[in-house]
Amino acid sequence: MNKLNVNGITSVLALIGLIAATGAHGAASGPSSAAASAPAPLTLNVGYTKGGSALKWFVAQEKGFFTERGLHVNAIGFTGGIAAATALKAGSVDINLTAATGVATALSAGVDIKTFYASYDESAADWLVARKDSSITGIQNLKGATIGTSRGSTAWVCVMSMLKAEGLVGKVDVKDIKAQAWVAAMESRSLDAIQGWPPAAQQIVQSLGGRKIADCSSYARETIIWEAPAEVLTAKKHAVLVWIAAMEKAGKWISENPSEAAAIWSKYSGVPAKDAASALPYIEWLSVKDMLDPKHPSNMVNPDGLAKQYATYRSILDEGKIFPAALPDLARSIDPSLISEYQGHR
Amino acid sequence: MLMTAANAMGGSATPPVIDIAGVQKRYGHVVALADVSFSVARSEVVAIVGPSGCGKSTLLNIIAGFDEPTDGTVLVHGAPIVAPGPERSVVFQQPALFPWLNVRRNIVFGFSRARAARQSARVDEFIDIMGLRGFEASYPYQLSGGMMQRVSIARALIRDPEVLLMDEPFGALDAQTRLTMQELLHDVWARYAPTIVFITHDVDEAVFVSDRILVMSARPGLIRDVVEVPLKRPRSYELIMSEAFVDIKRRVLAELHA
Amino acid sequence: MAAERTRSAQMLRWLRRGSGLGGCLALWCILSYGGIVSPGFLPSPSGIVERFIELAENGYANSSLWQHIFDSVYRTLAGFVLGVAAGTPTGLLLGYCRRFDESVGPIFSFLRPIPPIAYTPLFVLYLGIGDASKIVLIFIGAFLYMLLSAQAGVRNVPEVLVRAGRNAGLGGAGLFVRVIVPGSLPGIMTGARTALSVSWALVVAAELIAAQAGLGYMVSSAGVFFDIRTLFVGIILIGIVGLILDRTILMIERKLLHWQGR
Repeated sequence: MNKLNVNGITSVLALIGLIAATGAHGAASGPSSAAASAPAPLTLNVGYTKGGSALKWFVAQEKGFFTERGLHVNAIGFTGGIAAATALKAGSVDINLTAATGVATALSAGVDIKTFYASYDESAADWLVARKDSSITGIQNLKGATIGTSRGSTAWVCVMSMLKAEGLVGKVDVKDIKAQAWVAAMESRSLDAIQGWPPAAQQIVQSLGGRKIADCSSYARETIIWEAPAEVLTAKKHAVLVWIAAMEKAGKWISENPSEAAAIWSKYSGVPAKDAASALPYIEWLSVKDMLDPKHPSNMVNPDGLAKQYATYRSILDEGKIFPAALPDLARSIDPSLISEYQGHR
Repeated sequence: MLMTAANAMGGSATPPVIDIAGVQKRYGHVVALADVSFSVARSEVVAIVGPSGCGKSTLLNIIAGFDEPTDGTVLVHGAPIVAPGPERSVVFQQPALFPWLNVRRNIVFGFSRARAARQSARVDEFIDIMGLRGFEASYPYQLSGGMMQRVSIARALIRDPEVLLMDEPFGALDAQTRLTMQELLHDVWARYAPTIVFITHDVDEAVFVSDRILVMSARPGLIRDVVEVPLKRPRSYELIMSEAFVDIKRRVLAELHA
Repeated sequence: MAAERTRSAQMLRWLRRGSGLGGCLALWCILSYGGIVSPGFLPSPSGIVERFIELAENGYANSSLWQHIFDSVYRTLAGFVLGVAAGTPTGLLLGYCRRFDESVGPIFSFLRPIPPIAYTPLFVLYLGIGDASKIVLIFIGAFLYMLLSAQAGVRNVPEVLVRAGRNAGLGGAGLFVRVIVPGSLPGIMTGARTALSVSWALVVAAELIAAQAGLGYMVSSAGVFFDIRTLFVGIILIGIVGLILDRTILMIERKLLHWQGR
């Protein structure tokens, strides 16, 4: 009986803690906007995916492109691009590297999220890799196979688009395997193939002798973008503009110094440098110019660019019932105002 | 007055059940028992009294086989002790009943299933003598302290031991129950005439239950004196007021305080 | 009159028991229906019930809700039962046999501080993405826990009972079977109860990286996509199933240890 009473008290305490936490959230967005109105110093809390391909960002950080512009960056690593919605909502992250699925998560979490910068297109580097001893040699004999990928991720959207395009829906078993278990699941022979993003996909090919079956470029373009809540873009506008400048410099630097870039990538992602180097040629690093170019497939200015990709993602995610409710229009998050301003200043 | 081994011997002509000669027990530099010798005759009740730390429990543990002497010999029916065994059944101060067994199963503990079945009538007999009728299926937690010691005694007796080793068996009981148990012990003796070594620190109890009292002193543990108790059996508790009883008690107390 | 008093005392007890939970529920209602906390942070009780019904009808991530519950319970019980079956005798031997303890004890002393979760990727590698990798993970947790409890159980067998056993002529295996094992049972059962809750906590973690169903999978997946109502349904179900498992083992403990008179 006493024990139960104690339980009751603990639950009440837990609930009070919860209220306190939500209260603190409300307060948290206050100081951050107040800090932004003060002139210096410029700071940004940046969310990124640890094992992923945030290479431009890694380079800018490593080569001091932020600090030379007086921008202080706090790095917050997440295990998956879509895990950051909570942090964005709570105000602990200002800007976050993600893709359309992350935008969908943030929007369904009720964050007024904006896509303000398109970082790179990795669809040619997102590979379907078969186990070396599997009988799968191409998409044509994928029927009856078991494929693993992280459900709801860009790679998953890619697989689903591929199955749809190849008429294989319902004929391939798609398992939900988190990125940290990809190699283990392949080695244990539980899977015939993995759909993985760079540099993990290239690592599986190189280290395990996996066979590349297909990439995503012909099924679903995968532009990796930076997102931020609308109020951050207003309150920390100057910091974000400085940040864009550093990112642009990093993009140029990568194409000029590929081997050093691979070393930095390896250092940040934990993937061996030779695997990172082999992924590099498949990634298209976007510049502000590309983002504003109406003919570029990742452009942020007309319905044929990023907006088209977002529409594809939305329908695939909705079909897969990834989110509890139907998604809103993801393209409404695309906001080229900052990159336009950046371009205008130049 | 110093005791010699010869004085400590029982006067009986039959060979002794227990024969202890020159037993010493040292724990490092601490001498728990220094040269203890005595013997116990068949059907004799020998009480050992002494202050705490005099080594009386050590002595009993050695006879039981839980402990080995550093020096000296302990013979039971002329044979040395190698291990604990049911022929030297112990009644411990704390009722050592197995809480997961009921009264009946505690009594036959250690018996094979076949032997337990064969002894079924004797189990009933002990249950009756010990006043446990109606409690055969009870578990230890359902029993009072006195009841638990009755079960312990029944368990010790059913093994037909050469000697019953009782280590302050009534020490944890209240005065009233202790009295009843002491009288019960007399009934048991009258029926089965077991040989008993009875450890106690209660002089009244020692005089009441025994034929002979070994008075021990502490540091080092020694037998200081042997007091004969020539009181007739059966004994009842009126005896405690008699001059003969008081006289023996006085002698024991005098030795203890010397 | 005495009966009446106990009846009213019992009613009071139930009232007290209900008051803690009822208070929380009331506070929850005030917070969510009063609009103090947004439903994105704390869904309303009716919102959760609604989501529960949806999940019960349509399932979650290609599996029915019952499949999620069943998978987790199955993995937990399989790992737990195997862990108890292997850990208890090993622990008893470690406690009883000094030479065994000296030779194999250090292995377990080394393994004990490693959280089983750390093995997750390894087990996926060795055993694949099916149930086996999760069951072995839970097995390890339950096994190490039972080992410790059984060993401590042996140490807690009163010395006087060991002496009484030896006095009855028992030694070695006889003493082990007739005194040490039953005497360690209270410690073993307390250990088993904790091991079961440890197993239940482990299944949630075991389902994080390569499971296709299970309450742990459901909760982590819902968390990733900010599906707060499903998250709450999952958490509440984890709590309820955990409570049922605990009550069940408590009942078994009471039956087995009736002789403790509690």
